[in-house]
Amino acid sequence: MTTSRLTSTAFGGLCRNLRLLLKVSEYELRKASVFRTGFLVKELLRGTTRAAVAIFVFRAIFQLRERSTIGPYDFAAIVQYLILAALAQKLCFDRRGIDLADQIFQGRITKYLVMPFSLFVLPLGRFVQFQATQLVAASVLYGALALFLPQWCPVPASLSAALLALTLVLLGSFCYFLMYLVVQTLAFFLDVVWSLLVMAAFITHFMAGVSIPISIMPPALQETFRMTFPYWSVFGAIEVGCGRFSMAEALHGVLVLLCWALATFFLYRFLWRRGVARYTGSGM
Amino acid sequence: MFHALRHHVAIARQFVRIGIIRKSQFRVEFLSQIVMDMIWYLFHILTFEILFLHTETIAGWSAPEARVFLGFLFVSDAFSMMWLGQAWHFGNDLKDGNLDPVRVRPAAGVFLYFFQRFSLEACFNMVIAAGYLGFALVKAGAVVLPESMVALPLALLLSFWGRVVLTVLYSIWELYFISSDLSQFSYDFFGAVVDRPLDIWPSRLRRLLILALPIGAAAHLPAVIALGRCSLLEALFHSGWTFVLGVLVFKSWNASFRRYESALG
Repeated sequence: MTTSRLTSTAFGGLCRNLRLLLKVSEYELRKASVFRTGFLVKELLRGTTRAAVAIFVFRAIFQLRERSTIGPYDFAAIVQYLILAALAQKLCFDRRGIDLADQIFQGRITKYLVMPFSLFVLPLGRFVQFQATQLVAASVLYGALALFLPQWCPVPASLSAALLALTLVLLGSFCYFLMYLVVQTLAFFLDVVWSLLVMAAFITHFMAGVSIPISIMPPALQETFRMTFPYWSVFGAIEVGCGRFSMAEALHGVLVLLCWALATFFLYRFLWRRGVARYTGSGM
Repeated sequence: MFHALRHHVAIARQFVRIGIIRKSQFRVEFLSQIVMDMIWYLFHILTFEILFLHTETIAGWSAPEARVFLGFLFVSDAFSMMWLGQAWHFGNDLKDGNLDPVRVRPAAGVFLYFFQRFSLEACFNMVIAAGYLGFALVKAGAVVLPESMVALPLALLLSFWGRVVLTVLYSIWELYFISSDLSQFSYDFFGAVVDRPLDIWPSRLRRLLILALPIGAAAHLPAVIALGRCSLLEALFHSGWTFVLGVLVFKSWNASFRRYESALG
């Protein structure tokens, strides 16, 4: 086979996978939106109470303090931080977004193993659907905030800072997606994986600084979390967007996220191959 | 009345037996659920301890008092994990038409459905949670109060009752909006409110969360009672009202459950 034919075959495969990805995303969106009440309530309100609770906790703290700041934040800055944290958290892939573990447990992935495409495209379709839906939901919430409560609405430092922050969140969301995929793939080897998923969600929630900004945590925790993807997906992205982190720090964040994405992707591939070798088709 | 109670205790004993047998099949899961809850406790403790690095009180709660609050939160959560795990499956069970045995009603529907999945690992978590609560109560000086002989058992009962009522209340949504996943959503949505002392909220909202929705009954009110922040009379009023509210919620659930048909999905 000549090089040009090989290239065209690879290109054809890529195009087919892309078409398939779009189709899967479309079906996932249809499926998610078919239960309209739940869809609207969940997509718009998810994560909002956590932000509201955190805001009222800090309000109670600020009311009693003589100093008007905690770390680098005054009350207005911390409210804006918590609002942005809730929006960034909404954009980060949710643990309930994929059900690969259930399919493995029930032996339902057999049909995908003989099809001429990678099974990775199917969960990836869920990721694309989730991201599209959450981008719309986050934009609606941000728009409503700007319209009705403009004094609390956080404004990015500049357009480039906002774009860089969005890049960090989306890249971070992809890391969340891969992390949950890795945990779900453990279904090949374990009896139940839901508790591991919940555990991962608890840990990443804290490391992301969703309820408390990481800059008011003890320095040792800050230094440790700085090397992880949740830090850059939420806290780092907000600090970049608000101009409190420099461009160099933002690029460091992108690098950290890319390293995590690559590491988790290869871990997923490794576990998938080892798992499929153990898979019997009758469920685990 | 006594006969009905004995009947329900006998069923609960069977649920425990089946729960223990089921868990003996999933050994890794047994360990990972204990670790999962310990991580949840750890991050709640860390969150409060970090906040208390920057302030002496949060909405009138000092660090030792906030630890008592957390103790009740953990104990009530452990109770929920121990007995109410089936609630996580309510949406799917409803959709798949798995609730027929509950409709036959060999016992109270709420009890039969929500208490069927006894979790042995949550007993370990209960020991850890109770240990933390005990530590927090001693540090806060709450166990030396003479009223604590009455207040502590009352607070614990209220916190368990509050969890059951909230779990049943969240699931009522689902009976009207099939496949909406609203019970799970409500759990997450209001979970954040349960996790903090209700004194952070403006007074009207706080009253709503205590008197109309029994959210305060899970951890806030028990901590208030155990710490002696309210009189025994107030404690009895709140407990009595939460009990009445619970009975109303169970009656609403039973009424809403009439909508169920085996082929709802």
